[in-house]
Amino acid sequence: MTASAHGHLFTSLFFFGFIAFSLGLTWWSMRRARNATGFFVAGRRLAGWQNGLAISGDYMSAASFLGIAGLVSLFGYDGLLYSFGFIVGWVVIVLLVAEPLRNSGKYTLSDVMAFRLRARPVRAAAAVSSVTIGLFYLLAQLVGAGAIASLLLPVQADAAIVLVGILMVVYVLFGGMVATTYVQIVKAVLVLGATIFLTVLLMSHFNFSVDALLSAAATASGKGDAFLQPGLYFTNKLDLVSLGLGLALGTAGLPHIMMRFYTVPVAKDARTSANWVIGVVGLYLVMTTVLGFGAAALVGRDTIIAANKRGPAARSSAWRWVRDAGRRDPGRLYLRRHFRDHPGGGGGTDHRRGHQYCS
Amino acid sequence: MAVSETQTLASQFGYADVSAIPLSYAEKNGANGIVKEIARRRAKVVVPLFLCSFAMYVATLVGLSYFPGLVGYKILGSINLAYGLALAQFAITFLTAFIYAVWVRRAIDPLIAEALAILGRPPAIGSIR
Repeated sequence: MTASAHGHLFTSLFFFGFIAFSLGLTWWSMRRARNATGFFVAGRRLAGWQNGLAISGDYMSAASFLGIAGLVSLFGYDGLLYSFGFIVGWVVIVLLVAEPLRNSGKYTLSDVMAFRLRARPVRAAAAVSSVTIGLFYLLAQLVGAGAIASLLLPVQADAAIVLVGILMVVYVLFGGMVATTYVQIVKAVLVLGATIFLTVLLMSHFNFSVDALLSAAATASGKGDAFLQPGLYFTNKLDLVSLGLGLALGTAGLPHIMMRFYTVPVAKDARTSANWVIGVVGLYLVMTTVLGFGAAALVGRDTIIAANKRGPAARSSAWRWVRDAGRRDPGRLYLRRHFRDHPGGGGGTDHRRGHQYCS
Repeated sequence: MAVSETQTLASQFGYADVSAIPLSYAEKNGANGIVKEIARRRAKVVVPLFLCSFAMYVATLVGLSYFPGLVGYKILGSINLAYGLALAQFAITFLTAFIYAVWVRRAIDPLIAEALAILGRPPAIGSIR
């Protein structure tokens, strides 16, 4: 058996072991959630630290672990903006959002807004915004999950994306908030432990000197001091300011994060949750940037890009999908042909399928 | 009327509305006064704290974008001002959360307990800790 096959066997065993464990947790949670409050907000009985760790698990995702470290390793300092922009978003949450949100005693953000405003339009707007945010968020997360799974397991990235997507649906659909909370707590502990382990190993390579790490990264990048300054990724000055504001103010609008504040008994626990997130995620984000500079110094830009082209490929295919949506939209296509054939209105023919579609 | 006001106040703090005992005018007035005092204290401390930390963040973003020469200044070996500013944002966030947590525990939590005591509510309902 080759070393690679050995590696795949080990990671496959660990991966399927974790899936079996998390599905077991989901089955156990399914039996606990007896009503709507149990399913949607874990009965509002989670402790502040549990909820804080679960939110941290949401945050310490494939996209942030690979995304921030990857951006730092390829573009140097500009990647750091994602790390400190995310954490500043938590100032907004802890000071202005977390406690009032819990005090509202609702299930979702749209419930809170509908409490004060006209329910129908505000619910429609909240639904559109949640689905839009969820779609783009999932795109990045699933590409990240696919990239990791295809590197560690003997499966194609596309198959991994489908598998991971199905698993997510199963966790949420059957286990509700209790299952996702406990799965996220386990994940947070594992990811934080792995990140600390990698960071200690990396820093020991540089005798625990940040200066030595940064110099090695700057030299290996071929960009010198420019690698440690802004400007390699954000060539337009306003882009950096705009993204920075988006990260800090947008965190409070993430539906999957905000809905976790309804799971604790009182506002004080919501505050405790937010403080736990700031501590745990803050530490994690600093470490991902260190790992990024370490990757630039030890692995190198060319090897990183050659290892996986999935990110840029997914980004360009997603962009092509958005760009062509108008042209491809069947409804628009049929209507255009319909009005071309029948300027005065009336019935028409679905030219693609060759049958009448209205009369 | 008394019961519905009790429900609103209690539910604002996440407690179950279970009491059907009407409150006296003095009791209602006391609890409502405390809620107003909580809102007044929060506005006086939380808004300046938020504006202060957010202003430092925006200043950092502008500095990074428009003053590349300044943020490229080396503080210690390869560690430059830009890296220091990035780490400072983590420190500012930790400090802001810490100041808020200490202040709210000292200035707000006792008021909430007092309001709930007037309304005859327990100080907290059980979470699974």
